[in-house]
Amino acid sequence: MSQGKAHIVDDDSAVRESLSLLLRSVGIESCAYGSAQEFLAAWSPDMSGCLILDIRMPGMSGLDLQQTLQDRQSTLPILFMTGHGDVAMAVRAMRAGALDFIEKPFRDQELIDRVHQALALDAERQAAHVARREIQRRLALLTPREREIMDRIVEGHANKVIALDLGLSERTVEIHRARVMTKTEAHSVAELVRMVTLARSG
Amino acid sequence: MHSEPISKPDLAEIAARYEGLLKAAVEAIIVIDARGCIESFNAAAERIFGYEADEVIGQNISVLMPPTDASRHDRYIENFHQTRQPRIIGKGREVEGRHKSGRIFPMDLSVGEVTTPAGRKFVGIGRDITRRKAAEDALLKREAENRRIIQHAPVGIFTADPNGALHSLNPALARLLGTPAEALMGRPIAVLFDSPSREKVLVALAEVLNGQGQVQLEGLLLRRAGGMPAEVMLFLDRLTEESTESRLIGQIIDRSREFEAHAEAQKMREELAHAARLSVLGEMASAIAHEINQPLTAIATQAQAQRRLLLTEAVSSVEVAAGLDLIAEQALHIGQVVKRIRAFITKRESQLEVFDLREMLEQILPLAELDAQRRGVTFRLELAAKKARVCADAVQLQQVILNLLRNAIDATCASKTHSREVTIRTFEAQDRACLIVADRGGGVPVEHHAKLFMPFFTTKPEGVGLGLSLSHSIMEAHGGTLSYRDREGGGALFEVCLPVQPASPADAKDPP
Repeated sequence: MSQGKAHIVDDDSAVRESLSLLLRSVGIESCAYGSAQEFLAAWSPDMSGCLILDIRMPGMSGLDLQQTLQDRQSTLPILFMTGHGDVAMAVRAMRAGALDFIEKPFRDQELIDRVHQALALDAERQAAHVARREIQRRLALLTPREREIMDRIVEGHANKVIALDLGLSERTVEIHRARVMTKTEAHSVAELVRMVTLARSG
Repeated sequence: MHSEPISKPDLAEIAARYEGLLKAAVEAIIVIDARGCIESFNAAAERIFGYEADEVIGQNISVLMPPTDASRHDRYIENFHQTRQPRIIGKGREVEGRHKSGRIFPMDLSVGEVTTPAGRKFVGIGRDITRRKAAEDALLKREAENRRIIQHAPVGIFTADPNGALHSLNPALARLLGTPAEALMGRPIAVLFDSPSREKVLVALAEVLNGQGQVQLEGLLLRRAGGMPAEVMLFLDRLTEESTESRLIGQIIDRSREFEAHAEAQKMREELAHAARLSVLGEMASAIAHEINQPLTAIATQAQAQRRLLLTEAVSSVEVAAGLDLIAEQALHIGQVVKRIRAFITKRESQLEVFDLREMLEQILPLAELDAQRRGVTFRLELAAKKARVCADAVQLQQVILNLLRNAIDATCASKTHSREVTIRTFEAQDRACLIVADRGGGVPVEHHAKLFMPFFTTKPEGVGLGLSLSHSIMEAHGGTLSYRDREGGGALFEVCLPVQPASPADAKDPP
């Protein structure tokens, strides 16, 4: 999987330029924005990577942007940049689900480590997301009857119990069960349980 | 007396003439014999002493004298007879007489000696001088009073001759100068002053002598022996109102106390202003920290990035140079911020200077913008193109404006107003340079208008209420004004005005 981009949002162009250069020096691709609005204009739900966000900006602040992204159900990990006096703001940002914050000015390695962390987290999330989508696609192939039977299998019921429950022959249940396993590409009941759980989580 | 020579003495006629003379005389004429017995007592004497002639003729002259003199008089006559050294004879003298009623009164007395066949006699001619004496005494008393007034006056008073040399001076002036009065006599008054006050005094002297009436000079520096010069006021006039009078009278009033009191008040205001500036900066600390932190971040990050790039990949020297440029530029920016803050908070004495109001505004705006930007407020500038020269303490004036701008930002943020814009306008009206700071916030309620510039009046929950009152007193101390009015269409409008300074010749030569 290719590495995501670091999206930098800071009102100070000198900071943006320097940060891009630093990330380039360790091979991280970046994209810089001068304001929260500019970033939002470029944002899309499938945007990947991480966000390096200045907490204090004129106009829309970093915290405001975080809130807006949450409303839009973005999962982009956010790394906040703060000043000395911004502890209270940093605490709010962390409570609101920020990945981390780093105080300006910072040591290059500290920032790079955190950006790597953020990108790895996003990659993981992206992978999980892809997996979930695939499972959901497979589950969508099931007929209502097959789905009914799958739910009972996942709950741990034996074929006999399911047949009795649904007023079917045990043989019919067995046939449906085989189709469920084929369509979902699950190799065992344990795997099926894991897939259903994952599908329901997202 | 010798109208016609008397060839043949006609005694009767002489006696008649003598009688007539005695009667007509205004002065008391009394003749006594060698023992002091009164022989003759004329009509005037009767009037002056209150006795009928019959009552005193034959009596000793001492009845007409106060008791103390009376006891001595016999001795005087005795003495005269023995020594022939007259004490009184031949010259007039002021003595006291005794009226019949016992009243003692002053009189002028002259005594003559005549030798007649009947023996030696004395003629006394006297005049009651009670009234003249009273007038003289009153005059002396008044003169003494006047002298006392001048001697004790807290104001320095002097007289000078037409050349401006000191002729007399009172103790207050000697004290003020720190030099004994005697040492100052005859010295030109102009040299008592430090230049350029001296030149002004010389001009004033000439004016007064030319008949221009009283001249009043303020803010002169009077030299003092062993001390700092005193700031004084001088009144100069002719000694009398006559146009031929060329002597002068002057008054010197020591104003250094008022000056000191004024300086004291000024110092207090400076202290307060400094404290206020510190507190403003305290409130703005996080904005300022941000302003410094941003370039620091850029510098640190740029340096670290360049170092990594230099070690890991081939970067062009052009790229490195660009990075170094950015670092230098950012460092200089920090320097500017620090300089502005230092200039603003440094504790210093008030310094008046002439400057362009607009230039001053451009210096303080970045500091105010720190705060505005952070809180999403923008400044709209409507600045007059023409230079407006004012004379003021630049830092104190910046403080006033910063205070107004911060209030406007606060007001904008406090109200859910449709406009997040604060307007700053400069213009010139009737020889006054004015600056307006206007917002679209809630404005000031009518009931607060009167209290707006009072100390400790505030509507802000964390306000102290010194900002506006201090700003107001700063403007007044500069001969300017600070006023409030409701802004048309809603919001607050504060106006600062200062007298415009006349353009200097340098400005006139090359206009902006």
